Amino acid sequence: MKRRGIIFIYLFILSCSVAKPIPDWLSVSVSSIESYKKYYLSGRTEMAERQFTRALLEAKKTGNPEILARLYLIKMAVTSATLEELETKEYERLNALAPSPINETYFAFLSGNLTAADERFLPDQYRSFFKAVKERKNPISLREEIEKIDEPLSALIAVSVLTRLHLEDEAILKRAIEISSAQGWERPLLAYLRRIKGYYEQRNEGKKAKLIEKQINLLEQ
Amino acid sequence: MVERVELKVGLFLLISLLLIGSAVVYVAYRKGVFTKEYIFTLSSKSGEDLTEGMPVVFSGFKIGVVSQLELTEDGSVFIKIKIPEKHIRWIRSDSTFIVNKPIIGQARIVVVTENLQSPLLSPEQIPEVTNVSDIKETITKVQPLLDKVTKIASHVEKLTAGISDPEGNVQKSLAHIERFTANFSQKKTLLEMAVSDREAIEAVQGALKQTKDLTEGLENLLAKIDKTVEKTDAVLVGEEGIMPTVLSSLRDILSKLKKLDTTIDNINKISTEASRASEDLKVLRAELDDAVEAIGELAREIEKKIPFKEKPEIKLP
Repeated sequence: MKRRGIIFIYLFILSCSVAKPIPDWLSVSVSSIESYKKYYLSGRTEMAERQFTRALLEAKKTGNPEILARLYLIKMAVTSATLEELETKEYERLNALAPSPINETYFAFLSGNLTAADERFLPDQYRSFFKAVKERKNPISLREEIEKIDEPLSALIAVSVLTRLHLEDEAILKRAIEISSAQGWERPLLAYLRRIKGYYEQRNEGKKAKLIEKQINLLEQ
Repeated sequence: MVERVELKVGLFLLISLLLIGSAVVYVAYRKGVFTKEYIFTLSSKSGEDLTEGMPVVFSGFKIGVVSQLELTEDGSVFIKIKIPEKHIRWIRSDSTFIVNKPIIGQARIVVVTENLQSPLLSPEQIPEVTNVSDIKETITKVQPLLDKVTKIASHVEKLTAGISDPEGNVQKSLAHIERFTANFSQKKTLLEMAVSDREAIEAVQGALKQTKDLTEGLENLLAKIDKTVEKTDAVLVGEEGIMPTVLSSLRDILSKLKKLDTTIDNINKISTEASRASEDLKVLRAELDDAVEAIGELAREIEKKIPFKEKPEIKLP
């Protein structure tokens, strides 16, 4: 009995300590979700969907709803960056199976429900921005916070959160256009051009709105 | 008088013994006999090229030896390495151990440590050693895949040429489809027509060129593995080492092949109306999928063999 116990402990330590190679599902899933982001933002929906399905199929092999929910969250974040409505059904179904404070905070943040978001669980790049939004700082400070975010997609996500809360201004929208244009991301570029056009129209700035319309036409040709 | 002589002889013997003793102690000290030694365990799928007493080197300097080899129940081999205290700082939790057997000279275990700030390797941790011959074997697998890519790309090219031939079957079949007429008169190739831009064609040409370059480069790389007496970590896994070079080329080909996805899909859509071409296109589609999968698989295999690769993570953007 004692000997079996020793063998068990030995095997346990061994299983904890042997350096493990990266599992195939993880490397395939990560590379597919990265491709999904790239294709979706550049407007290649069919290719993007194929990559997302691939990431999902690989992650499904783990049987871990938290990982699957995270993939749907990434999809939501990418669509949010292009100012689209959030499709929350799949995420909510999976999150109910394995609630995770990281996923829930991110979801609350994306939805603009900042009171439900716990700063500690937010990705690092949003912390300072999150504080500024929560404290309802002026648009100049908010714009500065967006400029501090290095990752272009994260910066667009932050702008999309501001639009959800109706805190955007001309400079913030221009920043989003600048980022999308620099990255060659056609989909968010069109979305933010349309948004800024609406913004000008609301303020009776017809000349500016027309100029933006020409830009939109150029892209859609 | 006799007593004095005895005393002198006694003193002489004592001093001689002391000198011999000190010399032995000094030599032993220099050899590290009194240095505390740590034992780490590595694992290997096979005991090939491994011997007890084999040196463990870091940056070309011997820092320890293989003290014991043990065959485990599952047929793998545990390698115990003895490292003196002054050298354990080179052995970190993310160090990589490569069994290196030069053509000339003794086989050895090469320790590659990139981040000296990482925690020290725990005696409970059992990292697996990588064998240089594994690396060579993996790279050898690239060759048939490259042949496959070349075949696919040449099929696409053939198809493209076929469509531009006004007397060709595909052209004839498609000729009656009015919606493509405009495209035919404006665009030069089927690919261009299918995707309405030059990106896909550039992808085919890029994949072809890349495969050709890699095929040529591969022979040099394999020769390098064979001929290089000093298979240092830099040659194998360094920034411009063999493994990262092959990996990056494979990734490049892969991304170019992925670009062909849309093209083939579009051609397939068109070909439903050109029944003679559709069977060939299905085969081409399947071949492309196969090649993408196989290259992806190989790239992952190589990736696993490159040390210090950060573990991928599904990160929230």
